[in-house]
Amino acid sequence: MQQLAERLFVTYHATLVRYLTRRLGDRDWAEEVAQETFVRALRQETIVNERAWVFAVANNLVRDGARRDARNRRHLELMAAEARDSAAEGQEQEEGEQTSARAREMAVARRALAGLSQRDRQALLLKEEGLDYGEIAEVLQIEKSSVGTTLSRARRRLAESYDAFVAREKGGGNVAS
Amino acid sequence: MSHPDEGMIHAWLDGELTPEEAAAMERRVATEPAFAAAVAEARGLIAASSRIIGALDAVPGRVIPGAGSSARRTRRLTRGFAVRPWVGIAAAMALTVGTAIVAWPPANAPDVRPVERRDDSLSPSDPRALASQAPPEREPAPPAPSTPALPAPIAPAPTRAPPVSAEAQEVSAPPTVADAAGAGAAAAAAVAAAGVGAGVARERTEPELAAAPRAARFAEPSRLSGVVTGVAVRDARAGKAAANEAEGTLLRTADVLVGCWRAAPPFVPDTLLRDLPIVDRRGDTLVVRLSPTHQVTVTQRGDTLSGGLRAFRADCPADRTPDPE
Repeated sequence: MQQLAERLFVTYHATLVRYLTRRLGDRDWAEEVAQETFVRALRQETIVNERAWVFAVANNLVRDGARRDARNRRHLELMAAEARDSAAEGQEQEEGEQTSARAREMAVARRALAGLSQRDRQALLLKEEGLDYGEIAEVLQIEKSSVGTTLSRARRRLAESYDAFVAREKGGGNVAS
Repeated sequence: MSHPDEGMIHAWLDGELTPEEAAAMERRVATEPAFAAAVAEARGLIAASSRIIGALDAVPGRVIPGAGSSARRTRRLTRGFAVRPWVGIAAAMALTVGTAIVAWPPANAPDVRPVERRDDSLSPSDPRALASQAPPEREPAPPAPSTPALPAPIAPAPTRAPPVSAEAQEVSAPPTVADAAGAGAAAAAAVAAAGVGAGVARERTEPELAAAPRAARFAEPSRLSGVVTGVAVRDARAGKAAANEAEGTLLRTADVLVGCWRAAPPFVPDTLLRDLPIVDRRGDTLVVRLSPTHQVTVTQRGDTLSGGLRAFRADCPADRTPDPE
């Protein structure tokens, strides 16, 4: 069990953290969920599809965490917001408009992603981490044959939503100026 | 097939179709302009969504900032008091009592030292009065048995009252300072319960708060990581036995590790071992979190320990007084 957990950690830790960070918008929260995921692996004798198992457990932890760990999450969210504030503050001070534009792009991307349904969002993020359709289907508990449709819909909506937000920002900027 | 299946196109572009299905798609692209346009559009959507998702990777890496502007520190300090009003109340009480003890000038003795002032009420023949003639100590005298109304744990507060250096303030993070001030009574009680003398407890004040993070700051950058957040919550019932038991094991929420320890996430090979020293501060065992940018942060007391930290004994930093066990 220990060897299995260690191997999973070495193989999937970075990928899982990136996925969770993109999903949660908070790297420390993502790290916590990732670590808890590998702790769960300690209790497993065998895992058939390791990558799908790791991402499925992480997804469940995120979902269950809303109930079980609400206080800690609020704490982290609070500090995450603070960190974002300070990051934006620091970026504006230190790196100027270029960084500020990147921060705006990130904010727009996050808003666009947040506008997707949970399934579409997770499917997209899992695909970005290299999971194949079978693994995505297993993590999301959907039919493999519907993954292509899910992804195509998610990609289209994400792109359209992003463009809409960008256009809105530009429109707002013109009005402001 | 006049209406191209968009899901099928994405599956093809994602390499999920069988060779036969892929060949059929290629034939359609070659013969049907509308299908070819749909494929081109799908390629664009895939590239665009990847780029958009990639933009998310610029999220802040240190959710618990170790250093920051004074405005941010002020905000955090204010927030800490707002969230835990008892912290502010206790801190105010400690400051008030401490200031009164140290700074209240006695009516007839303008030249006396702080230790002597508190023994004004004693008669010259009282042994405690004689003891007060000794050279001044850094620590205030223990409260007299006849004054139970003055809570003993508040006594160390005066030593905490002077402003901490800017570096210490930045490194040790205001919430923990606020916690320390506010939780002074409980912390000192915990130290006493763990068999630590009151004098020792009084010695561990701001210098120690600053020392441990400063030592951590000098750690080898390649070994730093910010992957673990957590804190072992103080438990007055735990002591050395619990600490010994914790060697190499997963820490639990109520574990107390006295002395210098380091914590590591589970399953990490030695080559990847992160160095996360645990420091003991007035009875609270805190996990110091290190980030690759040398930022040092201290989690707040009362947070939930998570992530399955393993504890290992470690050498105490040279510039830090080892905690008694």
